[in-house]
Amino acid sequence: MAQGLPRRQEVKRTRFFLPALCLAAIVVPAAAFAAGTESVIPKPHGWVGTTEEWARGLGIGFAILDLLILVAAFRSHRRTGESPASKQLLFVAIAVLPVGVVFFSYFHGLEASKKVGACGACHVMTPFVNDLRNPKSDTLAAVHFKNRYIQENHCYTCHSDYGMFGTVHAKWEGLGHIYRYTTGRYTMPIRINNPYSNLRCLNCHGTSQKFLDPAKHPKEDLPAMFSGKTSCIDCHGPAHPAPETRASR
Amino acid sequence: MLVRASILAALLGTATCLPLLIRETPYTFVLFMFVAQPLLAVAFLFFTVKVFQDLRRGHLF
Repeated sequence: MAQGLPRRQEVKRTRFFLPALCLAAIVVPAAAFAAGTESVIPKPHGWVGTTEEWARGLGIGFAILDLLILVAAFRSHRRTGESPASKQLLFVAIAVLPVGVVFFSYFHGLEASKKVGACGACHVMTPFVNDLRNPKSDTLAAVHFKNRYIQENHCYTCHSDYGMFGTVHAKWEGLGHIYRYTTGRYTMPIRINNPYSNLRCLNCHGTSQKFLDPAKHPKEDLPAMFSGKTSCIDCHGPAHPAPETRASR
Repeated sequence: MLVRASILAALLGTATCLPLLIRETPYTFVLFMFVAQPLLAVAFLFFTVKVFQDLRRGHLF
């Protein structure tokens, strides 16, 4: 009886310690990433980070936890062979936690790929991003960026079609870009794959009074704009620097 | 053998997910899409095969 009590307490402590360790491994990185964002503009009171920051932190937490459990399972398997405990650990580490890791990695990867920084990560895009951020530039992209016509995800907003399939199509094309960039299967100077659709411009500008003013866009010209026969960029361009000037920007 | 291969594949798969979560670049994204996910799928496949082998051995399946 006297010997049994400390053992029971030890079991209780282990039962408490293991879930607490798991919880800490998930929550601590998540909270750190959510709180550790750098921004010039102060955050509102009670700011706990964005969904994307939490997803990133939770992804790291799940990955760390999974790695720890896998190492523990491997050691347990080597020492004692197959036991019910090692099988349970393996089930969690191979069938349960990776689902969370992949989910949060996808979430973070797809959200982060919308940002200007993600587009600029490929060196072929550097002149475009430099021009975009240049306050003296008068290209369409730079004008939209410096005047904050688009709040965030500037490249993505103008280069993806709208609606569910537009987003899916943009992601699919983006994956192709990443694959071609990583494997070096592209030719310079890079060019837009298809003619730029007016509908992307009209999604924001189409209902504005400035666009609907007949003095600026006569009514008889509208069908040609809507059908794409006349491109918005013909009059309002260039959208980006011309190929021969890209290197110097 | 299957269990060890499964653990190894899961370890490598999870480890290759981490760079994307830490810093998103074209390389980390490709690593996640084309290396990490297949490795995790292989780990799951090996583990499933092992489970079915055990079930058959115990005449439970």
